[in-house]
Amino acid sequence: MNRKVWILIILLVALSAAPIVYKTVILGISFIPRVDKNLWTVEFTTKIKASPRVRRIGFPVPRPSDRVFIRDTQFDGKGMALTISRDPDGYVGHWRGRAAWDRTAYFKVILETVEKEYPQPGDDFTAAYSSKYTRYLAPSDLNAQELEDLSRIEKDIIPDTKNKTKLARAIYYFVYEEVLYNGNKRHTPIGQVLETLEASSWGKSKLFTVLCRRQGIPARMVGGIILRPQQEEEAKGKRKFFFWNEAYLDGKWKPVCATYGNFARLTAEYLPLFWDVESASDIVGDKDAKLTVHANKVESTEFTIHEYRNELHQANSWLLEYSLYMLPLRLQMLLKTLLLIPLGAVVLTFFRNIIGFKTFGIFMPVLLALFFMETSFLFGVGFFGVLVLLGAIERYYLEKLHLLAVPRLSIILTLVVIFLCVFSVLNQSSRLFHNFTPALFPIVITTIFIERFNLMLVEEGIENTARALAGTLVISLICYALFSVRMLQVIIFTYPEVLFTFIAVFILIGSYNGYRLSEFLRFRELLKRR
Amino acid sequence: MRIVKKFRELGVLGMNARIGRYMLRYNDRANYPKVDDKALTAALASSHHIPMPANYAVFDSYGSLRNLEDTLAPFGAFVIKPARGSKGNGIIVITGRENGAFIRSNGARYTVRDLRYHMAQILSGLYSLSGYPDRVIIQYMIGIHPVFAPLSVNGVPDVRIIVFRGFPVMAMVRFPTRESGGRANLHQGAIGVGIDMLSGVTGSGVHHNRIITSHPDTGAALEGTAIPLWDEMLLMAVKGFDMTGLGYLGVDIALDADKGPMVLEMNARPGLAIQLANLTGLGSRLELFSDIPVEGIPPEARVARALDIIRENTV
Repeated sequence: MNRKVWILIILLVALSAAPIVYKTVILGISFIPRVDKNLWTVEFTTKIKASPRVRRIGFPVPRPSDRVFIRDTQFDGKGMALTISRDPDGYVGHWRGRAAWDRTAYFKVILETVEKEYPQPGDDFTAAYSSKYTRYLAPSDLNAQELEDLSRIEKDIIPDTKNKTKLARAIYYFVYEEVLYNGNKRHTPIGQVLETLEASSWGKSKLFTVLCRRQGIPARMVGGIILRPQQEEEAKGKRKFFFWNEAYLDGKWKPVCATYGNFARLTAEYLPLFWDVESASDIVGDKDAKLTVHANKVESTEFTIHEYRNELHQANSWLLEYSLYMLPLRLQMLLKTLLLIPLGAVVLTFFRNIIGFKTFGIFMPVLLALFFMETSFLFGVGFFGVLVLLGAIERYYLEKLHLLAVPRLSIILTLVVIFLCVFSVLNQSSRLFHNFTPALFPIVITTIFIERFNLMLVEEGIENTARALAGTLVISLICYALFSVRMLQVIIFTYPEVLFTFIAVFILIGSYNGYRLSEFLRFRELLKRR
Repeated sequence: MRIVKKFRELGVLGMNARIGRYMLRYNDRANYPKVDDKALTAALASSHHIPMPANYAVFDSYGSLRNLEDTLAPFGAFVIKPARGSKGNGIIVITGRENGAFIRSNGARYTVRDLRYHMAQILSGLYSLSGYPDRVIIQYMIGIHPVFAPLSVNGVPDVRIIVFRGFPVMAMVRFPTRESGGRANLHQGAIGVGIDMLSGVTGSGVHHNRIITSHPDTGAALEGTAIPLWDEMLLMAVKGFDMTGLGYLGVDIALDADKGPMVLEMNARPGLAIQLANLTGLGSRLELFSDIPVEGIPPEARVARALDIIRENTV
């Protein structure tokens, strides 16, 4: 190889190495985004009974924050219009319109939550609060008995101090340790809680709020759900609302959970939905509508694009404005797939030009591997078998009908579509493959594949065809195995500049004039005869 | 690593080197159509005084196939070929007629309808190198020379001569077998038999990359057949370089019982099995000729020069 080519190769490698070094070493951005561990779909389903009046039915909407990241939102109002108001006490969605017949509207969010440790509040001797906070000091509606019980308990638990942080902590310890948690109880009134010392999360949260407010600490109930995998399969992810608190201490709202024992800290399990609202039915506001919440964990090895994106933003470099991570999610997904193609081409060129594999069509193995990715491995390989069968049908049956090429191919194309229809229906009842959706592009490559297969069968016989078939399958399986390595996918997506290195690899392989491995086998007899 | 060294010593030419070192370097893309399109090859050959089988008719549209019967009427035996086919694909040899049916070289019977269908397939591009629509050539059928008769099954053999920079460097004769369906293509199971460049006498052969000494169907010995009119064939092959300008070229020559040697086709991508047929690495043979000046030397002198060089380098 001459020097010019070497220089070109070095240049290409440098071209891909330089931005990687720049991003990771100079800007100090993580090498790749880390893997998501806590991704959930949370679905708010509203069953609406028919009624002639114009409706306005509310439901809580997760609010993005420093520990809740919204990834995707889908909804279907079944004819009802959706509005979302960003209230200070939580986002509220409203289905508006007339429901002439029964319907079920849904609002679905895919979100990620993380654990967050807030700074522990320091001493807080605040005597008076601004008007913004006075509403969180308002006393509750309590009867004489309840007030008496409260005073009795306060005598035991409230320390003699004006330090609100200390007071809040004392109340927290009492509600957390002395009141037993019983998840089966519903909204237990304060009197009963104090009597039995047993409460639901709502009861605990209510008690904490009341006790805080009586000590002049602004406090509020927080309602939400706990994102925890469910033991019982039948629940299908259906969730009860769970309550905890926030107390305004040392100039900040601090989360407090007297049920699971968190003070100024929230684990990733907490998904807050509404603040200072005692019951979700207050949000719904319609007697003929029923709200249910389902939450299910997304089993995925997706990477946190969001955080990486933030990191890129913070790095604030002109180069990063052009990162693929800045694109809309859907486009990102598409590009992720497209970026796999050159990787497959590296495998392909290696196997064809260095090892000496035979394949159908040049890029067929890479396309097949993408097809395996898109459906599932088992289906992909099974489908490959069907293709070979269809090819044989064309060869041994259709050929005899003496049809012109294009109509004959159209028959094959139609057979593929029929196969996919039949398969989809059978799959629906047998549930062999989950989320199977036939994609458009494989159908086209399928036809090309069958045509090539058929032609080769005619031209080069069964033996050579079988060899090419095996070569195609092996290369596509290797590509598939590589494509399935999520890490690799993310690295290429994060650093698309490695494509320049791929080009360098292609130049290297392209200028390799040595023997293909298969040729040692092919020409082995030359050695023997000497 | 030892095997790589041995291969290098033998001068075995690999696929990558064939493309990278010879085809890309010596064969200008612009010259490819001269050999890929058989109709164009025929026209060029006649102006260079290279004999080729006569074309009886050329079809370039489906409509023209309608009066196929009338067109074929004067010819008892003929060959149907795609103009831009490769590896002998799509070629049908009709050796005669019986009760209105056409007899194919392998004994199969074809009706006019069968032939028309096959020709329509050729037109639609099924056999063309690129897959684009093609033309059909109806051609003179070569009669098998008696010398080759015991070694040919269901088809016509041809002599493949590799011409490098205008010098003939290696040759073999390809015999069809039952397996190859009468086609002289090694890929499809035909056999290749090496030819000694100096004497024009056959040696051992190759069948599916294995060395053989007798025909797999007839059992006839491969060795020791003197190719008739060998010098004429070498000259014809060398003229192919002047005609096409392709530095790395395979010229396929058939020997007609009546008319003598005729060029069937030329190939810009000749295969590598010829090394097995001759038990000689093609790479080292090509090396001998890579620096020999070729400008202004007439074809006859190039043949003589090539044979001298090969003689000098044969132990």
